[in-house]
Amino acid sequence: MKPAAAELRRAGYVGGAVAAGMVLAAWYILSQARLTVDLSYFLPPPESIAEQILVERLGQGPGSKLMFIVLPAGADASPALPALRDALRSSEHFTGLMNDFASGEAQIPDALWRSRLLLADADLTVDGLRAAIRSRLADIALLNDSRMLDLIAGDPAMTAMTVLEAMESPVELAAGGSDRLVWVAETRAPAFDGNAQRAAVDFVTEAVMEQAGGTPELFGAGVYTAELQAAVQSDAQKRSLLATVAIVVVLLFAYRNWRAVILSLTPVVIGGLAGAVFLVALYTQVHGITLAFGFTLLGVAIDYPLHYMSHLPRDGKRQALNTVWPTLRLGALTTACAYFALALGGSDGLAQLGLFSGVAVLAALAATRWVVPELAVLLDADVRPAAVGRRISGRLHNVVWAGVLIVAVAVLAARGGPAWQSDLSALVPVEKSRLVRDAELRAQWGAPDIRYLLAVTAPGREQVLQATERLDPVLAEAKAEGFIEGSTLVTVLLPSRARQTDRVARYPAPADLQARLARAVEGAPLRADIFAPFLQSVAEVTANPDYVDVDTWRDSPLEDLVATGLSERNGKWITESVLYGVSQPDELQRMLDAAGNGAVVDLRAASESLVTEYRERMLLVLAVGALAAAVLLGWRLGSPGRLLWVVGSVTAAIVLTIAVKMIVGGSLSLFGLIACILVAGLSLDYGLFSSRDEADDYAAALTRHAVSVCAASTFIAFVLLAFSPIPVLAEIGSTVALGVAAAWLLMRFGKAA
Amino acid sequence: MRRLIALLILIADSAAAGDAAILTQVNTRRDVPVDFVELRMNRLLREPLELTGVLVYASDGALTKEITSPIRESLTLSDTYLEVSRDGRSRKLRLNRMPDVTELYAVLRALLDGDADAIEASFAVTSQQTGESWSATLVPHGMPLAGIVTEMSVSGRGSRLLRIHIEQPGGSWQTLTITESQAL
Repeated sequence: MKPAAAELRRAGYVGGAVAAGMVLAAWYILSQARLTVDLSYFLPPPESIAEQILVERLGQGPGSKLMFIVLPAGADASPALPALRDALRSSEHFTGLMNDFASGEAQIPDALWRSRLLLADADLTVDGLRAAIRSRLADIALLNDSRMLDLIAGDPAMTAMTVLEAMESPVELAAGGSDRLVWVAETRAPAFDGNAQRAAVDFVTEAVMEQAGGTPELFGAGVYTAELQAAVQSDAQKRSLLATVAIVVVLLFAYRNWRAVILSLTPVVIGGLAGAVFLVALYTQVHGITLAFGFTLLGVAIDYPLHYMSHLPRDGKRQALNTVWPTLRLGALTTACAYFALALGGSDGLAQLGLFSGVAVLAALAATRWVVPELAVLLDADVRPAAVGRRISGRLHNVVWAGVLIVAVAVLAARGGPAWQSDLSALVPVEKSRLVRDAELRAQWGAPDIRYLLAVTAPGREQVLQATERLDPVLAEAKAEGFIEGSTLVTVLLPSRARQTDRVARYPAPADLQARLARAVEGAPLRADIFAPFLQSVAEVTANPDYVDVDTWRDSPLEDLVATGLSERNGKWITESVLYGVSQPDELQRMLDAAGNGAVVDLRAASESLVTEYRERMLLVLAVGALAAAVLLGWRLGSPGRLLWVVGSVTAAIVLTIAVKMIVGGSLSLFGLIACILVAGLSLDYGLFSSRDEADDYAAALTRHAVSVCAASTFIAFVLLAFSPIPVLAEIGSTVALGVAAAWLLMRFGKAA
Repeated sequence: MRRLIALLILIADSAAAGDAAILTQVNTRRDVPVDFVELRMNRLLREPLELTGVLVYASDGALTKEITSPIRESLTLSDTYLEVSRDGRSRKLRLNRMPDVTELYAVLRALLDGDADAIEASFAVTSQQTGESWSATLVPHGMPLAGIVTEMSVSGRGSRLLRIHIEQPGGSWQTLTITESQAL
């Protein structure tokens, strides 16, 4: 049958308009989209203080930005070492080398030196000064150089060093340890920023290769993020390509017409572009996860044109649409309804996911309705569906899905309900041996505990600082008991105003202090007049004290530590302090309870509770979505029997999928849950088509053909994903593949032969 | 005749250059504690600070300086760390954080072992010998050593190193003397 010239012309216009629209949309997206990878954007609003801290610190904590650089063997002796050190130190990727900071080579930060008299107590009695002067002679015996002499003259009680020591890790450095030189650098970017971490990793690797002639070993959260991102990107690209090829092969086999294959991929592309344009227009930032999961959920739209294609041989280009449209419309609207419900999930990321997938599904539906039939005239040969089987009796029976549902529910009940995977780190593929080495290096360098920290809350800023200071003896006792190896309270750098004014008040008048110093120096070989810089500073601080606050530390190497240490949230002030080597968090918490303030924040527990809340919220949203979908179905389907069969079969497919996942994998993660949403959408599509009243046997056989082609293409694509070494991809792949297989089998055998 | 000329040239050479070769005769006994007296002077001091104590050059290469008067302090310098013990507290500092101290440690070991090549790598050396007694002046070639040493003079007798004098930037100096009867 040759299409009329007018029809062809019309198809040309439509095709041209669609292509132009696609190019325009792609240009708009590429030029306007700002991708973010900030995980907190995707998480629900945190509720507890611990969760708030977790979300704010995600990849931002003091320990998480550290990169351990193990230099190649023999690098110690390399004459290029200073050049390498300077290269790293001045690099835009790093705030600095941490090793420098605690070393004799490092300078005392200017801000610390200026505020030293407000930051630590000094014993300025004659006896106290005499003891200090003996220690200063010992310092001269240690180091007789200019830096030491300036330090002594300006700060005979060494208060600045006291502050630095209070901030230093209490963990004893290993004496021999590694024979390789280890540098610890702090990245500027947070650990979760994969691109920035990748750049930092590349920079270090290149610089070390160039200067030290070998590859460094790198450890740290950011390094793993960079590697994971690279692995996910390359694996996802490889598998998407394979999946596309597999789908194309299935479709080519099913329709034996390559133009039909291209045409059947058009709606999903239009849907994806429409969803992305919508997001970019609505939000200033689009989350990377939104797009990844959004395209997963959009997988359901691949099916829409396939139903049309399968009916072409019987009905022709115009009539085929009329045959499938009512069922297609109901399925797509119901799916979109459930997807939009995701937008109520409470986080920007989920809202984006819901809006993207909902809009994309609607756009794909519209494209199937108005674009595909127009372009179908361009198919130069007839579509001849392959492997169209015999007609199966249309009589629906409920035994199969009910039986499967009962068995699956029984299996789940026997296992005590579905086990949820709440530990997100289980999905991050870092080799065990590297994590062990990472922990060793952290211990060796005394890096802060990345799991626990100490939070203190109070209604006001001054109150919270005072409450934190009161914990000093509690923590000392906890250390003595062996519950922790040490702690650094943020009040070391941010003392309460009360403590600062108290310190100022205790400084003697300059003349008095001078007399005390003169007496203390008696008998020592020191000149009496050397402490002029110190006297000058004391005179300044007593006359016009410049009290220490957060701004004091701006632009100093301690800025980050202070900025994360004190914050206000919802009218509450919180301090966060660093703990080292927490071995008995419960005991420490008991001591804090007795003292009346302070909470040991377990970031891992917070992350698990956050994931749990996230999941609960999502399950609730899904229940709402499912209810809305069921109401819509009940209203439009009209037949209670068909409604029961479709809803029952879809439910059985999902529960069976979860039960099998439990038996095989042991648990289901958030990503598995998202995959289940797609399974629901797909099985609804299969269910609606499988339960249709067909005009005749041929129509019924073609409908079944379409459902099988849909199921086969989706199954193959997700099976490829299921074999990914990346746990997140494998989880989604295996869940969807299982679900599609379960749904297809249920629909196939849910009809009496 | 030729031989005599060669010999004369050799002698003249060694006398005129007075180079680091003189230091090769030093050979310090390991694990034998020796008493020392050290004077340190700087701009904060009225008169030199006199320190006394015991030095040990251990067979594993670690150098320990135990100060007993007027204060008590123990310093141990090894390949990888500097350990400081004072008032019952001890702190270990890794040397890879301190390139200048690392190099000074290498220089001290080279001096104690009579490793003239290593000394010449870091210093310009002039030396003199009278009978068994010898002395040498060492000026660092550059950083990082020049940051803590302007000039170093060492002297001794035979295989024993007896005195190390260090001039430092900013006018500080220090002189360490070994009691000769039990020289290093």
